[in-house]
Amino acid sequence: MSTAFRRARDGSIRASFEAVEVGVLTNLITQLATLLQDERGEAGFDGFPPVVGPRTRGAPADGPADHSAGGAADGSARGVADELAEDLAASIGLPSEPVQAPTDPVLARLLPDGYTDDPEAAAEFRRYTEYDLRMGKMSAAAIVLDTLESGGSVRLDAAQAHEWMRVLNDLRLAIGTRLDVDEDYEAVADTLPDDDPLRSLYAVYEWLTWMQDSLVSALSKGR
Amino acid sequence: MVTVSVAPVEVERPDAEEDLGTARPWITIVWNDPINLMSYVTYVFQKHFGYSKEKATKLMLDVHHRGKAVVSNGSREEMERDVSAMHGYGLWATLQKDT
Repeated sequence: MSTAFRRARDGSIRASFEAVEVGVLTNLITQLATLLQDERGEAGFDGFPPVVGPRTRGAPADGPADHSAGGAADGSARGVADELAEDLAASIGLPSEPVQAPTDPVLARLLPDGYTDDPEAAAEFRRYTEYDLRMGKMSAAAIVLDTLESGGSVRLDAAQAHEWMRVLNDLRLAIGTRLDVDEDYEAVADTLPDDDPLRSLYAVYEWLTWMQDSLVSALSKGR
Repeated sequence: MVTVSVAPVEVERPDAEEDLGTARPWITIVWNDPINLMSYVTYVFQKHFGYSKEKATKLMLDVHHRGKAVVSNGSREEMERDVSAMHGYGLWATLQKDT
C-alpha cells in the first residue's frame, strides 16, 4: 500500500508506491498527456468515444490561410493591419481563428471557457491561452512521470511537489468527469454491484483524492 | 457563517467596441465544482493570490456554499491572467465586467 505524502526533515516531500500503483499512475498520466496533446480531442480518456467533428484550432500545415473565412464577408473590412496581426499570431504559434471549446467532456473540463455568456470572447480567450494551458499540463505530467521512474519511492523538491499536486488534480478532474461525480458520489458508488467495473474507477478516484489531500497538507506545512 | 456579500453576477455582454484601457474593473469568479478539494482550493488561493490562510479559506467557503466567489478584480488583462492561472490549477474560473 502506498504511503501518504509527508514532509521529511530535509524539507523534501516523500511518498512510496507499490509497483502496481506506479503502473496505474503511469497509465493514467499517459492517457492524460495523450488527451491533452491531441488537438482534435479524439484520444478520449479511459473509454470515452471519439468526439464528432474537427476542432477549429488553426493548422498552418493546411496550406495558405483562407482570408475569406469568418467575418470578412464585407470584403474590404479586413485591413493590412489585421493581416499583419494574424501573420504575427501564426508565427508565434497562435491559431489564426478563435478556438471553440472541446466537445469531449473530460477535455472541456480540463480546458474550460474563460467567459460564461460571451462565446466570442471565450473563443478569443481560448485562442490566446489554450495552447499554453495544454503545454503547462503536459509539462507537469512529464515531470511527474520523470520522478516516478526512479522507482516506487519518490522524493520531491517544492517545485516537483507543486506539479504533482496539479497532475493529481487533473487526473481527479478527468476521472471525476468520466464518473460524473457530485458531492454525494460515495452513496452512488456504494449502490453498484460488486462486479461493476466502475467500482474500480471509483476506487482509483478515492485513492487519488487521498494522495492529493496528503500532498496539499504536506505542502501547506512547509509554508 | 460567512456574510460577505458577493456582487450580483449578471453577465453583461461586452460592447461591440473593445473597451481595452477603460477604467471599468473586471472580476475573476471561481465556480464551485464537486471535484476540487477544499484544502486544494484554499492552497491555490494562497499560492497564486498571496492571500492569508483566513482569506483564502473564506473565499473557498464562499465558492463551496454560494456556488461561486469573486476572487480578484482589476483590468481585463490582469483578470485573464488570473483565470488562466486558475485553469492551470484545474479550478473552474471565468472573468467578466464588474456590475
